[in-house]
Amino acid sequence: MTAATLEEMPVTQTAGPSREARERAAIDTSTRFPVLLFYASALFWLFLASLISLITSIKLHYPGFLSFCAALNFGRLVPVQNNLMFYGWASLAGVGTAIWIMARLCRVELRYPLFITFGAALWNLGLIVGTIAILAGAGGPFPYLEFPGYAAVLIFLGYSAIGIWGVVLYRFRRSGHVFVSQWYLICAFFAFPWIYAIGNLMLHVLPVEGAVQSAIVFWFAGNLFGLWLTAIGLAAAYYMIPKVTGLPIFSYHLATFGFWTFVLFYSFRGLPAFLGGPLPSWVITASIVASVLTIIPIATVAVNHHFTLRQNITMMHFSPTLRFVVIGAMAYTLAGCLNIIFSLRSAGHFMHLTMGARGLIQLDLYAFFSMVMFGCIYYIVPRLVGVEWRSAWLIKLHFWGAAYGIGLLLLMLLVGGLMQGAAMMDPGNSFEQVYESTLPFLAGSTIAQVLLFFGQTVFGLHFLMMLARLGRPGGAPTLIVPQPAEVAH
Amino acid sequence: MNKLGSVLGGVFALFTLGWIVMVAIPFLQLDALEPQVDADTGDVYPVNRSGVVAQGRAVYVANGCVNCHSQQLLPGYADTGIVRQWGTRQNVARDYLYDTTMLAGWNRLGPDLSSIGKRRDDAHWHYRHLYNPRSVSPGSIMPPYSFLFEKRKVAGAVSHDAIAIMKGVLIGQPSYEIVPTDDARALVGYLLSLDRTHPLPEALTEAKEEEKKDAEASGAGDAETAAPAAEETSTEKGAQ
Repeated sequence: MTAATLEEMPVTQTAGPSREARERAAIDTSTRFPVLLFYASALFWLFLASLISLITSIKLHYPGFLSFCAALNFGRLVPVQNNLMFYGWASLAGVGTAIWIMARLCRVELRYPLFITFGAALWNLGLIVGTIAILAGAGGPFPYLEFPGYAAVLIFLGYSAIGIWGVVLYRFRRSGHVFVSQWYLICAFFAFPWIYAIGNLMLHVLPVEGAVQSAIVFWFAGNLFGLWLTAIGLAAAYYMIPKVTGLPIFSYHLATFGFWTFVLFYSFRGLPAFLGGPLPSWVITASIVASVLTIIPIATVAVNHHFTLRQNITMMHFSPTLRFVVIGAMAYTLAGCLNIIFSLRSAGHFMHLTMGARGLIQLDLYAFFSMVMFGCIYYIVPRLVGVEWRSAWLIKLHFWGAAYGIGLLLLMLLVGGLMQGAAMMDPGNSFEQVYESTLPFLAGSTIAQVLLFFGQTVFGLHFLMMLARLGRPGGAPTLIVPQPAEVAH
Repeated sequence: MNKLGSVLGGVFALFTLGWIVMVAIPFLQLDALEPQVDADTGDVYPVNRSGVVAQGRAVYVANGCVNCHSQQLLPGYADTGIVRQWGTRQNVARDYLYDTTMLAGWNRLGPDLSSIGKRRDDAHWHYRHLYNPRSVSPGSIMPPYSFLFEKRKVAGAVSHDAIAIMKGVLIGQPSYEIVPTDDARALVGYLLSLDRTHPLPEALTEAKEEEKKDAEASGAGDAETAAPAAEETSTEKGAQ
């Protein structure tokens, strides 16, 4: 195949190619500023979050490292790192991608981009305020809800200015056909404000007391990862895989079925993370049942992607977008299966309360979502700035840093977590012996964090070069390796 | 299903269903919990504490202790906390009845603290541990919380809770002492208050679990020997 297959698929059959190209260019012009702003701030937060991850990782085997002041303490840096990773990097990159894909699929120009830019500014202000608050000791104790109420309000208002456009774009869509990605995006745009508002209302504004807080916390985390992040990640994968391979989705009906089971079961998921905890056991059991049933949407996605990709799998070798997105989609399947296994009571206690639980989160957040987002950025940014990525080498460095980094990190956290859990379950081991057995894995995860930090820094610099229009002007997309002539046909 | 209304409506219905089952019903169920009052002694458990305990809880939250320490013991099949003498029984919803912030946690990089006040009732040990964990727990990976302490000149008598004294070498040179700040005092007050060992009928203890197991194994077995199995395995070291 030639590089021409990397170009856009026609959206409809009626219009001529030149008119479509003009339409796409107009849409891209309208989304250029906000989407680049989302990406630039997301990458800034990613850089900061991975720097902090590196510091906290070192602290786990050198506890005295940077411990002279309260703000740099492990217990404050960890929530900062988690929140910046989630609300800073993942959510902002997700929003940028979602707005761009929505505008393209609806074939509608983004009106009043200043409004959405204002939303991005508020969101970023919320992140800054929240980070300072946590470092100053005003953070809360609940995962992904550590930002105090005033920072959460800023993020919520920022989101309102953004999310409404996702829905407006869909409402005024000009394309008759509705794509799978659009349902997932509608779901994400709808779900985020509800999840975020309920979590903050019930825990910060009008706090309930006692054990039920845990039900809210884990419902919140399960839904936020599911209906918000996973929905955007799947929408992006459902968009990019057919787009880059030039092949339609294998089965539309399967995708419909997968979508509705996704919404149903993912909204019940999350409480197995509180296995054996002080909640009525029926509610945890119900959540375990839902977790097991998530195998249905996970399998439909895997089947759809696999059969779409199968006919054009060699593209993964050349296209950076496809390589990142497909690795991410594969990680999604793996994450789904592992989450199911460790939601079961019989297996869960080996993972529960260990560093393996963090491994499962990294699998979802980094190996799946972030990899898909990297792929999307590789696809979208050249279309917004009008130049191609500068260097295949930089893409390669980023890919190997990210892939080896996350691979090593997962290995260390998951295997280390299992060892920790097994050692913990044997009362013959003193607690010292348990954590001493985890030290090699903690050191290994620091090496992984170095790799991730390296890969992301390379990517950040490459992105800055694109912003400065230092890419290759025009021509074919930058591929990881040049396509050999004999493959072209 | 491509109308905006039907996609949004479907998502809204399923999402709300999830919220009702996972949050609203447990809320109503747990809202009905009452503290337990002992019929003979009139003891009430749990007690709603304020003052220094509440301040200490805020210090605990502000410094993110929850990121490494759980405050929940799980049933025996999933946890060895009882054998490690971290507590005497599984924790249940009633243990957290008055907790304004639920600190049950999700990680055990450090040991469980659900009943740390029962296990370590010496404030001075906690001060030394917070200032430099390795001084009392060799090899610990807990970071030092020396910023919760201040170094000051000894004025007259040494304070009763000073954890270190540096005497002046020369005559006339002042001596220094390291004393906990108000935050450290509140935090230790909170830690000492943590005791979730009060028996509750709905909470399985080691003894009850053994009883249940024996009963299952030998039908209506005699379970009078179901003493806490913890005794022979636990050491002071293991209980830290």
